[in-house]
Amino acid sequence: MVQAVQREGQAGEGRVVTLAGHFEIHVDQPLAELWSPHAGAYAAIDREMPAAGLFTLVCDPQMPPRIEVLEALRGMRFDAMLVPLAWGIVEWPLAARRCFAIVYDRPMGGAAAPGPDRPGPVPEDELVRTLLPPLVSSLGQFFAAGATHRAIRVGNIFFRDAARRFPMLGDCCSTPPAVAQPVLYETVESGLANPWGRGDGAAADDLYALGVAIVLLLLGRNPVAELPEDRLLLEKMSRGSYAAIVGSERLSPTMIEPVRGLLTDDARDRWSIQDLELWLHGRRLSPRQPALPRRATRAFEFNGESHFTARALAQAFTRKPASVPQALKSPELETWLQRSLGDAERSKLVAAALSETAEAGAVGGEDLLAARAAIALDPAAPIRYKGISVGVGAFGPALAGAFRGHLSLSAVAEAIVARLPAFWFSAQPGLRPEQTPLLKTFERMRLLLEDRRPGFGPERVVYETNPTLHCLSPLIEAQYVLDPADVLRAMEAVLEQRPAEEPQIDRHLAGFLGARFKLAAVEWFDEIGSADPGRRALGTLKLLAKLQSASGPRAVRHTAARLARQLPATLERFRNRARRKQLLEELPRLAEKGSLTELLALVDGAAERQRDNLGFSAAGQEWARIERELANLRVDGPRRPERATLLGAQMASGVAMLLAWAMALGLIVAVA
Amino acid sequence: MAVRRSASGVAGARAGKKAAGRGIAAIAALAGMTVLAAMALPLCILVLAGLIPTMVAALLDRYRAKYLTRTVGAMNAAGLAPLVLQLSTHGLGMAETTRLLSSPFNWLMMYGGAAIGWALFLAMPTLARTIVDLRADQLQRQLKARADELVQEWGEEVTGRSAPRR
Repeated sequence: MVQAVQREGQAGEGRVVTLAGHFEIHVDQPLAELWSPHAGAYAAIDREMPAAGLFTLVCDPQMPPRIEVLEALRGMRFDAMLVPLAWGIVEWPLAARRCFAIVYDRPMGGAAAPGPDRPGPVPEDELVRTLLPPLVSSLGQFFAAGATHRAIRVGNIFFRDAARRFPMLGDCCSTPPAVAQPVLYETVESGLANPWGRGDGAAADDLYALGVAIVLLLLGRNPVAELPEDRLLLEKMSRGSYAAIVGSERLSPTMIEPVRGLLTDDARDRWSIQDLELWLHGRRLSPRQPALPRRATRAFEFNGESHFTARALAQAFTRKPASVPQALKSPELETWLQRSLGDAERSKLVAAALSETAEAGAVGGEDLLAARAAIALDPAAPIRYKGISVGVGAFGPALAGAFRGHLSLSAVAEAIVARLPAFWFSAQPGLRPEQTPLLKTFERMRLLLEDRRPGFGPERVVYETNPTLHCLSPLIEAQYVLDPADVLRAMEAVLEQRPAEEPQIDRHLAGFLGARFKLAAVEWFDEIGSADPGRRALGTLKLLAKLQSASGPRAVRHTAARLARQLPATLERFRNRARRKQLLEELPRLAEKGSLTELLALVDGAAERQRDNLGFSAAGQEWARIERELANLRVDGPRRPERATLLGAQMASGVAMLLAWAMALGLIVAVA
Repeated sequence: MAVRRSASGVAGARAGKKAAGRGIAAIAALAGMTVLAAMALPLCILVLAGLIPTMVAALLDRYRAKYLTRTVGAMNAAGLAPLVLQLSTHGLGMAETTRLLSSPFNWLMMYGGAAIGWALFLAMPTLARTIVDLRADQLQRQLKARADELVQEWGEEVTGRSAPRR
C-alpha cells in the first residue's frame, strides 16, 4: 500500500519533504552517483534513526513504479540488494507536482563503476569470492519472494560500505520492468521487444543480465559498446549471445563456464540460480556449447534479402509487412520450411496464420498477416505488429507506455482486439497452467477495448492491467492519484487553484474509476458519455457523490460549486416549474456546504422525482379533461339557441305557475 | 339490425303511449266539462269563455311538455279565478254569469292574464339564451385559465404536443 503523502517543509539546511512521517528528503541535496535513468536521487534522513544513511529515489512521473514489487519486498532484508524502507507520494517542489518516492539504505561505497557500462576491471578472484556470492544469494531470496529484478546492469551495482567490499544490486522499482535496460543486458526475445513491452520476465532474464554484467566487470569495459543495439541484436540472433558479446575477448576457463551457462539463449538450458550457487561452491561442469538456432541449408529470399533462420525471416516480415502476403502464398516458403529448414511445425503454423487472417477478413490485412506469420516462425519472440513489439506478458506496461507516447496506442489496442496474443499462445509448444488466466485476461481486455463508452476502451484497460499506474487524467495527473479514494481530494486541490477549470470525468478518469472503484455503476458512465449536458452533469455528480460517500472528504466546496454550475441543465428533468425554480435557488446553498451527496439528493432524489412524475401525470390527465370539455363547448355552440329556447319555455312555465299560485294564494287570503 | 329495429320499436311504443295519454287527458277534460255543464252550467260557460286563450295556446303548443299551454293556462286561470270565486259566492246563477261576462274589465282580467303568460313565454327564451351564453363563456374562460396554469406549472409537455421529456 502506498503510504500517505507528505508535504514540503523547511529545515535549516534547505527544503525538506517528509515521507511516512519520519523520513526527511532533502530536496537540495541531490546524489548524482545514485541517480537512476528515470529517478532522481536525493539525500534522506530517518528522524527516528538519524545516524542511518539513507537516500530517496524520486521517480519520473512518466514511469509507473513497480509497487507490487515494493509490496513483495516489504519487511524483507537482503545482504546484497537495495531494499525499500518506505515509499509513497510526495509533493515534489522541483517538479511542482506530486511524485512517487522510494527511500533506500544509502550505499556508502558508491557505484561499482564510474559510469554506466564503463566499469573498472574487477579481478576474477575478487569477483568470484567477494562480489558474486552475496549477489547470487540475495538474488535467490529475491526470486523466492516471487519477484524479478529486471534492472541488473553494472551501472546499477553499488557497494554497501565505503571500503567497497560488499556489493549490492540497485533499485529495480522506480521504473517498469526492464524499461531502462540496454539491449546488451536483455535476452534475444526481450531485446526484440520495445523497452515498454518487455514485462516482468522471469528469473532466467535476470540471470542472463547477471551473465552480461559478469563479462563487463571482468573485462572492465563493454566489449560491444561501439555496436548499435539493432546490430548487436542481429549478432545475438545469428551467432548466439555468448559469441556476440564475448566475441574474441579472452575469459579465463574458470569464468567461461558460468558465462556460457548464463548467456545460453535457450531459457530452458540457461543456468538457474541453483546452478550458479553450486558453481560458486566449487562444483565445476564442462562449459555448455551455445545452442544456435536451426539454420536452413539454403537461404530464403524475401524482399531482396537472404535469410537462413526462421527468426531472421520473422524479423524481416515485421519490417516489410506489405510483401508478406505474396511471400506466404508462394509455394517456395513451404518448401523452404519443410525441406531446407526441416521444420514441419513452422510450416503448419504459417498455414494457420494464413487461414486465420483470411477468416478475420481484410481489416488490418497485411500487418496482421505479418504479425501472425512472425509468431508462427518465431513463437518465442514478442508479438510484433505495426511497429510495436510486445511480450505477451507485457501488454499492460506497453499500454501505459503507449499513453505516454512511447508506443503506438492504436497498434497495441489493435493487437489485442485482433487476438494476436491468442494466436501467440496457440503457437507455443504447450499452454502452461499459469498462462490460462492470462489468456482469459486478454479476452476480457479485448471486450473492454471494443467498448467505446467512457469507462471502457483503452483507458480502462490500461488501469486494469497496470494496477499501480496513477490516473493520467489531465485534470489530476499532477496529483499522482493511485487510489480512487484520493480522486476527490486531488480534484478539489486542482479546482481550488484553477478557478476556470470545470470538474469533468474525462475518458482517463472514467477508465481509472471503472477499473478501481468497484462501487461505480455502468449506467453512470453511460450518462457521463451522453451528449445531453444535463445527463452528463448528473452522471458526473452520481460518480463523485459515490466517491465522497465511500471515502470522503466530507466537504469539497470548489468541486461542488463548479458542479452546481453544470446542474441547472439537470434540473430540466423536473417538470414542475415552481419546484425547478426552488431547486435552482437551493443549489448554491448546498454547494457551499461541499456535500456532493446532498447535492445529488437534491437534484435526483427518488421521492422528489416520483412526486414530480405523479404530479405531471395528474396534470396531463387534467389537461386532457379540459381539452375534452372545451371541445364539448365548441360542439355545443350551434345547439345552444335550441337549448336556450327550451330552457326559456321551461322558465316561463315555471314563472307562470309560481305567479298563478301566488295570486291564488292572495285571493284566498283576501276572501278569508 | 335486430337491435336497431327493436330500439325503434321501443321508441314508437313510448310515442304511442304519450299520444294515448294526451288523448285520455283530452277525453278527461271533455268529460269533466260535460259533468260541470250538467251540474253548474253558468260556471261551465264562464270557464269555457275565460279559457279560450288557453285552448288556443294548447292548439299552438309545439312542446311535448306543453310549456306554452302551462304558461298561458296558469296566468289565464289566475285571471279567471276571481270571477269564478265571485260567481260561486253569488249562487252560480246564469244572470250573474251574464253580468260577469258583460263586463269588459272582467274580459280584460281573464285575457290580460293570458296575455301576460304569452308575453312571459315569448320573453323567457331570450333571457335564457343570455344566461346560457354567459354560463358557457364563463366555463370556457375558467377552463382556459386552468389550462394556462397547467402549462405554466408543468410546461408545454403537459399538453402532450411537445417533444417527449429528456
